[in-house]
Amino acid sequence: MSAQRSVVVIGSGISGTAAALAAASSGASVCVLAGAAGATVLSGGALDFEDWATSAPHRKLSDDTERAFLQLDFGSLPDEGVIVATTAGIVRPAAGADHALLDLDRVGRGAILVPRGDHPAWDAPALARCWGASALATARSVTFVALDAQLNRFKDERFLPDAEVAARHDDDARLDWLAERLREVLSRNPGFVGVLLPPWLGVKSSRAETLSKRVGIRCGEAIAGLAGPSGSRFTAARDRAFSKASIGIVSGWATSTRATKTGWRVDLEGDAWLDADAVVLASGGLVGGGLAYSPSAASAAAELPPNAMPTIRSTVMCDAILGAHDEPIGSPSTFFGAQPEAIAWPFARDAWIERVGILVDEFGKTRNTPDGLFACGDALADRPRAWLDAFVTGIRAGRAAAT
Amino acid sequence: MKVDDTRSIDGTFDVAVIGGGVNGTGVARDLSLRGIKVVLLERNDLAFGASGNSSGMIHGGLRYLQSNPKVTKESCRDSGFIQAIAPHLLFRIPFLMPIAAGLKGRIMIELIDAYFRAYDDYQPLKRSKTHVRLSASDLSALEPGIAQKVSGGMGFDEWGIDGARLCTLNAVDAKEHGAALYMHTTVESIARARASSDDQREPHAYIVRATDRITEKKVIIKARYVVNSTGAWGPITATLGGVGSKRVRVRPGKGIHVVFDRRVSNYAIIGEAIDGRQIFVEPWQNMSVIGTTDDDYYGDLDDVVATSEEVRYLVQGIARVFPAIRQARAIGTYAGVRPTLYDFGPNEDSLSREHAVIDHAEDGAPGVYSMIGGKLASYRLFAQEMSDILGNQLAPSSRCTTHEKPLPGGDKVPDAIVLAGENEISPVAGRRLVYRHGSRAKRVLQRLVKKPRERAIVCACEPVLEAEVRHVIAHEMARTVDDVARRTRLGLGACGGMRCAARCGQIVADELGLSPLDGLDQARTFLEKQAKTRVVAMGPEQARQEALALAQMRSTLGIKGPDKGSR
Repeated sequence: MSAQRSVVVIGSGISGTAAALAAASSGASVCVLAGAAGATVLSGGALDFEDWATSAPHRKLSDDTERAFLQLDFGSLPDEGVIVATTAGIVRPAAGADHALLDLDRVGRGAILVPRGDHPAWDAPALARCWGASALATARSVTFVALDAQLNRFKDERFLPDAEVAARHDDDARLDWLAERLREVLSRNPGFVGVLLPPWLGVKSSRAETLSKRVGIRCGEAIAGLAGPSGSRFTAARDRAFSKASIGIVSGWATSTRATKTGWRVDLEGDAWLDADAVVLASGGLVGGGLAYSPSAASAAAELPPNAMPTIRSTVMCDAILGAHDEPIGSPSTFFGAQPEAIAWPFARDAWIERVGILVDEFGKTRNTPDGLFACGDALADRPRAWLDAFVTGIRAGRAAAT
Repeated sequence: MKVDDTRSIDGTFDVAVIGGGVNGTGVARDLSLRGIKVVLLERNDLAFGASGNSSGMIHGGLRYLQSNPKVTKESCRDSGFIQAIAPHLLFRIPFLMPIAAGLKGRIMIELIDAYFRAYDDYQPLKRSKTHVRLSASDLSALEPGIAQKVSGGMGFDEWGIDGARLCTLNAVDAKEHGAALYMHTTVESIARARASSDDQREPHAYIVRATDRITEKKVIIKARYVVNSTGAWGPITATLGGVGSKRVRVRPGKGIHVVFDRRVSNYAIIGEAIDGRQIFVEPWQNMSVIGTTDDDYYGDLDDVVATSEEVRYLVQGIARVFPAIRQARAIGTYAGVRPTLYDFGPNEDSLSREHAVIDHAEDGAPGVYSMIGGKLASYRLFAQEMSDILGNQLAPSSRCTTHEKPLPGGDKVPDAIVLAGENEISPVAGRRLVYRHGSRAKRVLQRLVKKPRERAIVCACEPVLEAEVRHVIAHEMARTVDDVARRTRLGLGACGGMRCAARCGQIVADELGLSPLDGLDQARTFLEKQAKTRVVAMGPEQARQEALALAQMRSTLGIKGPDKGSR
């Protein structure tokens, strides 16, 4: 055996991807365990360190973290941040964005076309009014104008989810058709500096750049709420980056992980296991399924009371300690577990539905376990649930696991 | 009582009705139909309190049969009247009452059978079927989810209704007959008007001062009579009138309901809570609802929220008779406070739901009345009693017509499927629209002729068309996303408003000429309020959804968050 360290990363979302890339570039042999779609796949494409509404979005990444980010070829991270529009009608700042999103700062001042097609979920005039009223847009002298355009190539697209329309735009001929329709509108109504589209620009990779070239002005997406295509584009970018870095993906579910005499073992569903020198838990939070909320009442028979169990646990059984506010979770407050109104937003400052997770040290190593178990991303306690934060913690954990 | 000698008055009316619940809107409608000039002032929205947060039944008062058969008979008769004036708004809820196995159960079944035979006498009054006695195998054939060990049971017939729609229709009808309505307007004082020379024929008049809570605009009203129909807020309103709250006493009883994402049973099923109280799971509109609790409440009436312990109490009780409820997906809760007649001593359940009109002449305020107690099913009768007192003084030749004249949309209810086909909307959307608007669904759809884009579905769960959202803002006095939700059930389905609140906020802003940012703010306020009612019923899967909803809102809308002072 060579002295190369082996690392198993549990989870293939953004933090798992970052951990795998960092561990591989630190020289480890890496295996990623992929379960199913988690929070990353549901994200809209805005890249944040933490909640944009309450903190400054800009922060410089360290050089090697930035290298890893660029290696992924998923989005951009301009020094001054980006300004993006959401399908809920907000214009907001972000540290970076999926390539497909329209960065209003890059478009510059002027009028942006919001095409209105026969797509009931995309209320272009209302969105244009709403974005136009935002402080960020007015400060930049950006205006939005909704104009009719043919956006549906086929009648069935009227009610298709955004991600499915996005998949159709992976096709070159179809993208040409869209560009042609947009050029028609623009030739009748000159003077626009950009085009803001629904979240439709590809699922394998961003089609924004190609569309912009064909239309002649910058085109991009608004951030989707749910079921947008950004998550699919991330997945495709991840697979490309993994194959370049020779990182293997195994699909399956980890049930537990424990220290052995020589390292760590990850038990999988169906009587299989993986052995490694280190394990990174990138298994996600509540949304992704890495953490589970299980009030005793839910599993109880008709007759109560049941036993009082901890209400939040890691779905990968391990000795890592769960906590919030930098402290382990205490015993449940009632027979039935926690009182949800005491833990869940928007009741209290201590809304730990968003904070609870695995407690780690500054290198991402789990507390009170033997060396070699790390955690990152949404699985962590007290972290903002944000894309870039997950990426940064993933890099940190991956690097530590490899050394 | 104080004297208010202001001369700048926004309007002079015969009667000022305070409170936009079912009693207040019922009185406003009744008096307006008699040609009496009415103003209605409501601190929040129509049906904000108990009226919009009840079990949603126009039941016959089965439980009062033992203590007070008169209440049962009146309830049944009035239920029949309500069906006649708003046929589109009522839907049949067949109930099953399983009775436990064992000797006690076999005796109970005979007693209950006899009890229902007595109830059957009143059922024709509300066009309900007589009860049926069911064997254990009948029960499990009708509702396979019922727990096995039963000795049999009863089937009986009740009617469901959307209480918020009932209030809205009463208010709209009052408005169309000349009433002035001020929503989101808090009454701050009620004082005697200084008598002037031209007031010789008037024995008394009152100045009611109020403030619009949204625009902060002052409203000053002069009225000869004042009706306090503010339900659980009754004592507070009486204090504003300077008549003291001593004679306006209610025993506020909080009741909560848990809402599920779909109909989990075909029939309503009655069960028992751990303390022996009767509770139920009922199919209600397009969802299932379990209810209800009854606990003395001394908290903030503007912010009544179910707690997780109340939810567990109900789910635990229903799970004994219908175990699958634990696997069902709870999507929220709602809570209200009953304005029960005051009595010290009895436990909550044995308190009367009867009503009383209190004449404050004795308190030195002639012409001021308080309506205390009451229930949804007999609102019309209570409103009539109040209106008769005022009508005898103001328009002696007039009479009550609220039991004959249909509520808006209650005449000739159209066939929803035909209507949907003609207007190219989905049959489901058509069905729901006709349920809420009856014949006025045609008016809503008339908008599509000029504006075909209003065919777009804003809320997919319910579903609600853009045309309907605009209609309830323009014609039903909705001013916020929350108001639209109350009138259309937008955002009250499985997605909790995540897909529709922002869009609805934009429509409200557009219709009312507000800034788009105000529209977004309304959407946020609505979503946060919904989240608050949702988390208490949260199970394992809902926790994931809750976390996702949170991430989604953070990303696309931004939330005020706990640090920004949102309660």
